[in-house]
Amino acid sequence: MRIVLGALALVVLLAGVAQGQPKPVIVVQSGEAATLDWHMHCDKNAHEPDRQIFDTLLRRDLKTLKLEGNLAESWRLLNETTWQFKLRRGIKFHNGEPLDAAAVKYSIERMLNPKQGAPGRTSIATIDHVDVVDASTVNVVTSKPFPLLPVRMSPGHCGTVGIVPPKYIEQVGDAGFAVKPVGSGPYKFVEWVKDERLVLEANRDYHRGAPAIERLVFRPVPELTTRVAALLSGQADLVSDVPPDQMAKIKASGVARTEVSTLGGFVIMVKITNYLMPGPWQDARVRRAINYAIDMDTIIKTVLEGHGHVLGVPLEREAFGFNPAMKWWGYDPERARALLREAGYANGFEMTLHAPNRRYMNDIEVMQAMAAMLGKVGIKANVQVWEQSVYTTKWRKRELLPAYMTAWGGAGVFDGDLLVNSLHSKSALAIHKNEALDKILEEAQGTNDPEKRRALYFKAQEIVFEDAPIIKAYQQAHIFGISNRLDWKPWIDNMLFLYDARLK
Amino acid sequence: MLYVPLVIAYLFRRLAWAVVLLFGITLAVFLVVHLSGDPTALYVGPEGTREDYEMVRAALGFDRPLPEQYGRFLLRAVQGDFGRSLRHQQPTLPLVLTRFPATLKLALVAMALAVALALPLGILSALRRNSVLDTFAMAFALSGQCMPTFWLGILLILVFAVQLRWVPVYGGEGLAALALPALTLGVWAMARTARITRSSMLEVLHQDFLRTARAKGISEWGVVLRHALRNGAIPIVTAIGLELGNLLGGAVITEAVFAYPGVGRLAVEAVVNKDVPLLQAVVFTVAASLILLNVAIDLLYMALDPRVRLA
Repeated sequence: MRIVLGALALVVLLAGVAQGQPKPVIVVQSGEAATLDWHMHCDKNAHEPDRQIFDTLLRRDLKTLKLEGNLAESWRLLNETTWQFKLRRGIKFHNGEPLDAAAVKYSIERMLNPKQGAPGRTSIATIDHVDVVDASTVNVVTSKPFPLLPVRMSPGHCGTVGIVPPKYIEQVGDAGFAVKPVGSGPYKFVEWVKDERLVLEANRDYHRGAPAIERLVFRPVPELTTRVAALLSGQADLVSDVPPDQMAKIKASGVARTEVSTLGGFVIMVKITNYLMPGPWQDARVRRAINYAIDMDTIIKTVLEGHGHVLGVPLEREAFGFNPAMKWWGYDPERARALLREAGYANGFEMTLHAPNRRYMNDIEVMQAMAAMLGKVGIKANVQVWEQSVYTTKWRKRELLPAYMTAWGGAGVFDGDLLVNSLHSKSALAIHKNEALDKILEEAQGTNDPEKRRALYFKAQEIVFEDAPIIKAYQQAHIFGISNRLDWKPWIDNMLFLYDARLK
Repeated sequence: MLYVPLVIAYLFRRLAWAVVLLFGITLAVFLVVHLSGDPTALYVGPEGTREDYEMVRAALGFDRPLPEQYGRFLLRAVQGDFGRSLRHQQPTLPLVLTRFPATLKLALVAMALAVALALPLGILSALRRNSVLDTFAMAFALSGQCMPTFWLGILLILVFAVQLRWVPVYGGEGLAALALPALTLGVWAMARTARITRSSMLEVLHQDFLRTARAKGISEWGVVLRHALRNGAIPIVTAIGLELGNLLGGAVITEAVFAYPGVGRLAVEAVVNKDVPLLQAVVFTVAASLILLNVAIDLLYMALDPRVRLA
């Protein structure tokens, strides 16, 4: 015992010595980046530091969500397949390299090159090539109309183009760039000790002015409880994805607070197949009955402790093309039973609901609640929970049948195009096929005219409603734990962007 | 006492077995990982198409038959090349080896802490058998063995890092960095070693040679430490040796809880990301060090007890 006490005393002494220096802002993350090369990941833990290091041509206004100039001061459509961007002059990368038209061309074409193997390449694959007009003007030429191009040039977690320095990459190679990135964002890379810390410092020459915070440290802490403990002990300043049941503890601590962001969260839905597995779910009436059986409001109120809201159509309310007049199938178990009788399933049936394990907020519990509600109308639903990596593999192979939970959005795209990712039959995540819907979504993808495009998405939402290929979509709120010394509000896509952050 | 050629022959035999064992272990890991689906899905962007998927699958070599994939792995492994980590895009063995010292340090400190507590606890319990001290010490040991690592780690964090703020939740320098993780990791080993020390001490305490020792006028502590402990040492050394192995392997949870940058965390990360080459390298390194450890224990037996023969 004496040894333990002795050791503890020594520890206290050492801990005391370590204090006294100004503390950087510390962000604890669930994991660590594998690469800091913006083009080479679709990973939240890598995107968060990269968002501070790199910058994009456009960005979104925080209040209106409208796209606005950033590295580019303006942009316009020259013809159906050519977008022109005018760059702000005088912007330099952290190493002094000029951020000019050549750098923009290099960045877009680097991500586009199949040999590069950028995981977000598909999102910009409609781009054919980029022409340098002069030092501060580029023309992005697409193989067919590509209305989403400006969105792909603004910050987003995957499939968006960050501008990278061509000379530096040539100098250090892809491998060097991955561990020691140079961008033009508000913070500069300082050092990266794998598994321990990634240190950034303020970029005094940032084109919007220097950030208020001098030093940022990202730390990988795999255990959620440990992340929250770090916040409570004053060791960390920012923790994302706090589960609702930890909020009270944080609020009561006196050293930290919570911030709930309802904007732009994941659009979560349970998809039901109509063609990959024979069964009652192939009948649209049955899928509507399933929707009628689910009281999503109650699930959100109880299981998510109110931190979310029902959407119905799997589209963010802020998304371009979202039809606010659209009402989804309500909660009505009587009509659910009637529809099941009508479809010839008066005695119900059995089905499996595949659930991820802690991919979304309280996901397993949400699906268990759904299963219980389905039970009340005679559908015996079994919830099958899969471990993360197995789940991803299985959904890729479309083996999670007849129904599984998935999500889309939350990546800053805010566009009806999200329906393609969730519901177009060719999408990697879709298990439903509706040819009329596929056609309309494809048409919208090739339509530059915003009004025509909006009308197409409205039409698409009507088809989705009638066909009911999902169980009531909902959006989860994002909960952040923030130390009291840090003044910061969540960014619209719920990725951390700390340019506006300051110490109180 | 020790015959050098015999020892060398023995080492060669053990080494041959080690190779067979390592071969089996890598095969097992390979099969388990591949039976739960191929890792391609995790390395294609969410919007990736079927074609992207097939392209990545082919690039990673997961489209080939399993025996061929394993064969390729083995061929490279015997040359010391465990492939590149899918996630880190770096050779795996250096990734593991740079983290190994941290895990070893944690395991050794945990072991030192455990032994420093367990030996006195076990010896005193044996000497004062059935006393209040014995009951208390064994209850302490038992509860140490019952507490799940995860739970204990979080508890220690909440008390010492959040409430008292004596140590950081994670990170820190020197002892501050190691105190809580080593305590968490060492408790099980402490409990087990204390109980084994107690029972093996009890076994020798009443034997004739101790009476002889006492008759020679050696002090009671001299009797206990020099004669009893030495003779009761083999099970204790075995326990400690095996525990050290457990500590190396068991650091997985502790490292995750305390965000400690060691091999255990790398293993968890490799599993989550289905990083097969990295996982192979981790398992290989840990398995190899456990085998080495076992050989070392066997050699230690001979030093402790000349009757042990190199069979």
